Amino acid sequence: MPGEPKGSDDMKKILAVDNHPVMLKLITNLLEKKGHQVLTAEDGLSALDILKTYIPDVIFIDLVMPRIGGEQLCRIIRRMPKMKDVYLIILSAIAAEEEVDFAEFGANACIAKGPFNKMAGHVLFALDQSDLGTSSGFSEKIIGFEDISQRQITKELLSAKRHSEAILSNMSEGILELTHEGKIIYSNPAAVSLTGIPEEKLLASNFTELFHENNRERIKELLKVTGDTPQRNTEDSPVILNKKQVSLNILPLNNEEHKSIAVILDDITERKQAEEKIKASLREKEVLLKEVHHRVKNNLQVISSLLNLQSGYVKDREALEMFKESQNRVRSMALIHEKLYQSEDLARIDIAGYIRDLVTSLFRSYRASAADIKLNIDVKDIFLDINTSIPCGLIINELVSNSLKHAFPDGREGEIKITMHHINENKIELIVSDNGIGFPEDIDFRSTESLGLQLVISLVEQLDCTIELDRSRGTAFKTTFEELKHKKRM
Amino acid sequence: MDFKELAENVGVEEEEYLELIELFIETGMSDLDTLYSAIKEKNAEKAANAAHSLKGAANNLGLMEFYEAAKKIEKQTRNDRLEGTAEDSQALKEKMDIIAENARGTERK
Repeated sequence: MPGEPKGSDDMKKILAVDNHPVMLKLITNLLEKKGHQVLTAEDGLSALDILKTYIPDVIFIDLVMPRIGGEQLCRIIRRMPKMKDVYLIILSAIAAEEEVDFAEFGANACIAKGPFNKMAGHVLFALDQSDLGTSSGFSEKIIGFEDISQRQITKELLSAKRHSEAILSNMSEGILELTHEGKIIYSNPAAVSLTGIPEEKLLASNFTELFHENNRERIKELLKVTGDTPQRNTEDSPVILNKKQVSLNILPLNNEEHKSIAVILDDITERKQAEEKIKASLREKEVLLKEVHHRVKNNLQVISSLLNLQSGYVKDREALEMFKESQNRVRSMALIHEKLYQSEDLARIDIAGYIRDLVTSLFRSYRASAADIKLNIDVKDIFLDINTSIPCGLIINELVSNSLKHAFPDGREGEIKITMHHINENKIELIVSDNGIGFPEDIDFRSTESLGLQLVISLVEQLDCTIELDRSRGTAFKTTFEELKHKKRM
Repeated sequence: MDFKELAENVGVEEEEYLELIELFIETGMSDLDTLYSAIKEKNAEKAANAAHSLKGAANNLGLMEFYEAAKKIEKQTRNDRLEGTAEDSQALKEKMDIIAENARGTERK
């Protein structure tokens, strides 16, 4: 008799997946009346949850659903070994609107949605077909297709969806979509190959569990995104996934109907390895540069020592003085290289420390006459590169030597003062002064016989700056210069 | 509104049909709320999805007048046109109210 429940032999285990409760209820009522066991799921993700423990004979699947659509759900089910005999029936309004190639994604039959009186017949017909087994192949026609007219709008909707899917499929970055609980509901092919996990296992699994235990807390923390949180990127500290260094770009998707999280996975293993190589290579170069500065300094020191040794054979007082001056000049340059290899960045030296060492060594060199002379250095936080600091150091060397030699005759007491300050962003003012007997009135410092002052004039030119002499209180040389930024010494 | 006839058309018992109608009203009301707010926010896609849901269920249950009205709104919003949809949604809501009223009346019988 029609409508009579069939015997238990004919009882089928059925899963119906549709996001509309009315449709689920209609199908459930219809099939339960026929004596079948029916479970329902409102979307693909819930269906996959049920399929973990339940192996149905037939699954009715709506084509368009949120969180894993029908087409994808079919493909996933077809890849599950234990589901190889399950009969898949696509159930959708879309089927009537477009010639759905349901066999292509693994479904056995396709029913067009419509008024239920017509649909009910199609549902039961498809169920009978399922008895013939999946081996009988696929139905070719959409059942109920002739009842419903074509609808252009949904066709366009579908083609737009296909278009975005094509883009996602061809991207080299892995894209995953997660529910806010962290379950994977979409994966593009790149994400599949990056994780090394087949799509059917990846989908409906927990994103956090893809990672090593040690990383899981961090991943959970990263996933705590809301619409207001800006997207998060872990490029600076990549996570390890499938033995690769992967940066995660996590952004919340606030669709009206369901909130989800998109994760963009980028394999940056090679980039990170290249970065490491560059860093190692840079460290090596820094060591080499330090070594070079060290050797230049040592060689200059040797020259200075040679001059010192040779001066032991010189009897003439004037010649001896020349040896000492040369020795000091060489040392002022050696000191720059010493400061450079001790500096942090190998490019700039802290000029205050340099001046202190330089002048202290000059005082030691002229210790006979420097006993009662005080030193006052006022230089703060100025860093100069080698191109500027060498001429600058030599200028200070000459001017301080001059003061030590001439400003305080006959053991006079006094003070030598060196100040160096930024007077604006670029310009630096250097003043070397003493309160000694004063620079001789009759001598023009720009044209003297003194090698020291001649050197100062030519160094000033090298620094592209000016120098002035103030005789109001002792002697004060004032020069203003800029760091030589663009000039490269050949 | 003759639910007995509608039930026969769809091929189910009247009692079962009323149960389904109740479910239809429940989900339909929430879809209508979504439709209203979508139109207010000028979100055509969201409006089209809500109309699509209403249309599908009405079609299943053989509520053809309601089905045609929902279909009209879906078609228009799919093409990103929102003008007139507020009035059309109001008309749809009135149809839903009539169905709801009839359903309650039938249950009391």
